[in-house]
Amino acid sequence: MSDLESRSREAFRRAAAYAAFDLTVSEVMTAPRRRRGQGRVKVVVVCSSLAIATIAVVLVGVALSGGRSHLGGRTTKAVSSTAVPWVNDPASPPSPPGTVPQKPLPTGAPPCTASELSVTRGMGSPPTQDNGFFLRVRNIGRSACMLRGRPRVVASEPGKPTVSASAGDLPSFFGEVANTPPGGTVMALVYIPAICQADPTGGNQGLPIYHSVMVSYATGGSKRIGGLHVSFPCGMATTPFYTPRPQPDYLPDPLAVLVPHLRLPSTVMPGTTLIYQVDLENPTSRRVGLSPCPSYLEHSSIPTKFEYRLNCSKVHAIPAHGHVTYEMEMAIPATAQPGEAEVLWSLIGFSTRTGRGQVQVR
Amino acid sequence: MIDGGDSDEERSFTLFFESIHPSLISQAYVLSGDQQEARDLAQETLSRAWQKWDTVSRYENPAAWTRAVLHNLAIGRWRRFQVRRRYERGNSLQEVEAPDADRIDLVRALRRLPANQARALVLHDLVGLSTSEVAVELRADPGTVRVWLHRGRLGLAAALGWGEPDDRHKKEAKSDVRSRES
Repeated sequence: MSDLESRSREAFRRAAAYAAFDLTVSEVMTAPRRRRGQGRVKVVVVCSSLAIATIAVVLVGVALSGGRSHLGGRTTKAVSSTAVPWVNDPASPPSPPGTVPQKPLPTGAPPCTASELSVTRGMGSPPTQDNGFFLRVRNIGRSACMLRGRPRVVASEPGKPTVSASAGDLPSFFGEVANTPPGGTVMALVYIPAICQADPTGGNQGLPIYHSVMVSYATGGSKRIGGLHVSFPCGMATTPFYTPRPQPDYLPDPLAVLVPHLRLPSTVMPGTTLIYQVDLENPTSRRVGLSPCPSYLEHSSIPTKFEYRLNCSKVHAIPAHGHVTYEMEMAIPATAQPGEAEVLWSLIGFSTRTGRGQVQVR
Repeated sequence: MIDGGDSDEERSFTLFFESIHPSLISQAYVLSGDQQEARDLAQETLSRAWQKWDTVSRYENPAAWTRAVLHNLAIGRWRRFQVRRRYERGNSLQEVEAPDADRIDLVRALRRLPANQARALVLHDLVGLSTSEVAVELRADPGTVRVWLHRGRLGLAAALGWGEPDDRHKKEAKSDVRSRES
């Protein structure tokens, strides 16, 4: 490994070590799922209602398709002449959805007293103890109260120097100082950097190890937090108490209402270009603008996967209760195995819908 | 939310989640330089994988698909929000400066690199993929990926003050490329 490479790897390792959060699988399995079967029903309905027209269009299309080339290959098409032509524009990343403005959290409740508070070590804390831990303070009282300031955190064990946490700032995205309702919690991060100017290697050889810290707060009360195995090459610091900022509510993606329906030819040959159509239907009573011009993902079980931008040069919106037909192209690799293949198409966005269809590879 | 008929898919997604989420979190964090942003990115990416799991699970490399989605989401947010300075301003703990500077400098330097170089570096030097795996994932020639990696590292070296990209580095990189190609 070269010197440059090892320095680069080390820089990435150090940077990533500060990712002080974790995810659980339940947090990502809460979103509603789209199932293959649901999409297929729509395709079948569309395909059957269009079956006669499609057969006629395919026959005409095949008759007219001679000489069309894509990437030097032959084409297989199921198109009409009214479709918006395909363009070879690379996809662009989707714009993130807007967020619903958040109101400031309420403040002004009386200060919390020691009898109202219960402090524990927070779960979902930084991934390693060397980076610190969260304190979770719960309001076990009967009314809302407000906890200001920061905890006093001291590591003190026999025969070892006493280490006190210094005052660290509160990053705004952590949260804000606010009222804590009964049963609610406030947090504070006790931050124990492993790497600093004093020891840029991040080593802690020879430094005493501490197994607990004493946490106390200005309104009275203290608690020993144990189960630690930390040293303090760079000291430690603590944020003020804060109420975690709730996750923002995202505004719905306007593209999510559009329903793609695929019209595919019945067969395609390996090494050719599959030409098909996507009917983009807007079932709502509001027009859906196409600015910025959205991109789409087309992929198949062959497998193939392509991302392009829609042709927005002439069509700038999908009208309410209307639809627009787009011509699509997909290069089929020469190595594609014969058999039925599923083709999937979706606009690239947040919670956009997927259209599906089948084609026989011969 | 999750119904009883999906237990096999839940299990397979859970296994996938456990295998990929640590490196995905690192990737999101290095790309965004912001805890909240990174958490949102990783969660959004994995939510998409779960939503389309019956399709994604049949891909030859679901992890590559997931990393690509994360990258696209991150790039989108970079362009939309530009550099978010709030973390830099708000997270400087007293008496503790170097760790944040390290991280923020890397994120800044990474954003100044061309997209292909940055992406190759993240996949190779952070995620730990081999050059050939990066090449497959970025649909590029392995030789091109080596060039991207080399230029990207030179860019990081210049931005992070590892010393001027001197002749020693250049010779080292050339011999590195030659030895891998032979």
